[in-house]
Amino acid sequence: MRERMRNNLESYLTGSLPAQENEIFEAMLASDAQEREQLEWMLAQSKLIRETLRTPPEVAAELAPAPGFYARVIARVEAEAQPSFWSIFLEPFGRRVAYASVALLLVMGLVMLSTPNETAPELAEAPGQVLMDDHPEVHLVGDTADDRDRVFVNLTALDQ
Amino acid sequence: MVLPETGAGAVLSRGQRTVDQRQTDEIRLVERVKARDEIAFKELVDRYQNKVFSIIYGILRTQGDTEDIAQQVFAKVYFSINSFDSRSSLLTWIYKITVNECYDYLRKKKVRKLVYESDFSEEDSKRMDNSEASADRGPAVDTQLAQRDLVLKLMSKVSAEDRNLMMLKEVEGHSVEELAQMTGMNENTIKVKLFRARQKLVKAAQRLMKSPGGAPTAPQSW
Repeated sequence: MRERMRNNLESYLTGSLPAQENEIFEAMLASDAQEREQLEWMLAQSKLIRETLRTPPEVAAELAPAPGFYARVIARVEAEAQPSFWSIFLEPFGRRVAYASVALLLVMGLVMLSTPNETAPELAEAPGQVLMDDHPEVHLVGDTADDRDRVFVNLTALDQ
Repeated sequence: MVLPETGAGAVLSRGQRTVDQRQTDEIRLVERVKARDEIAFKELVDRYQNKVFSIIYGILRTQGDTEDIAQQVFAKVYFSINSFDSRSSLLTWIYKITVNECYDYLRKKKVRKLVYESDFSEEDSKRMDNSEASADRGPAVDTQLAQRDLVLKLMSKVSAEDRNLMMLKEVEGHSVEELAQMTGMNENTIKVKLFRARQKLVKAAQRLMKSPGGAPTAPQSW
């Protein structure tokens, strides 16, 4: 039934279905309320689309474009053909430059990743630390005034 | 050895030759446009401009932006001509571009939700002024606008391909055989596509027109 509907629908809608086929088609519709309702909607829509979107011939005749239409089309084509900044990358040379840049970045990244991490060089010992190592009795505790007093006491003791 | 054609075969062959000749002319024109031959492009614009204007006016019913959309259509034709493979006719291809451009325009302007006064043509405005006088001659202008709004909404619910087929069938009045020839598809495919498109449209209409009570409004009331 569905296949018959599908095959004959367009001819039925335009009224070009042969009489015998038309009878069979309508008998089929009479026996199936759902299909009949669907067809009613389709008929109504078909009519509505035709009436709404079809340009009447007398109006169509008046719709000729204003003089100079072709020149305006060409002006638009030329305006749209102006290259933008990004279109440089679509050109063969620009594309090659872009590919080369990406390849270079990849190589640099690989080199950086494959280079082993060297251990950080040891810091040279500061002179103050060397002096303090020679005189272990001096212990810096972080308080500047206190540290200074301790250093003076130690120096005085050293002189004596 | 080639046998001479006689009778119906000869008539068919002459008809076929006319179609072939037209297709050959069209293919030549397209090849020249592809080669950026400006004279060929002018010929193409001259050949199809009236049709394009008519399609745009049919959908939008306003002359205000018709030329702008038509210019955009031909600019698109110029830039996309390399993608045209001659499987369908040039007119079908241009038709598709035009309808899509109209729907893009409607999407951008969002005129499908509301009908603005600026979209009235002068003819519509005059008829609106004389709506009482014209009441007995046909549907009122606001009814016509509402109907057009409904049709455009419904047509936006189906795919661009289905929409083009429906328009070529209903608006341009082509038969299934002609559509098959124009699109390069076979007749059964066209029938199946049209049937499915109509089903989708019915479902969309039923959803759109569902009254608060739940039952869809009868199509006779359109």
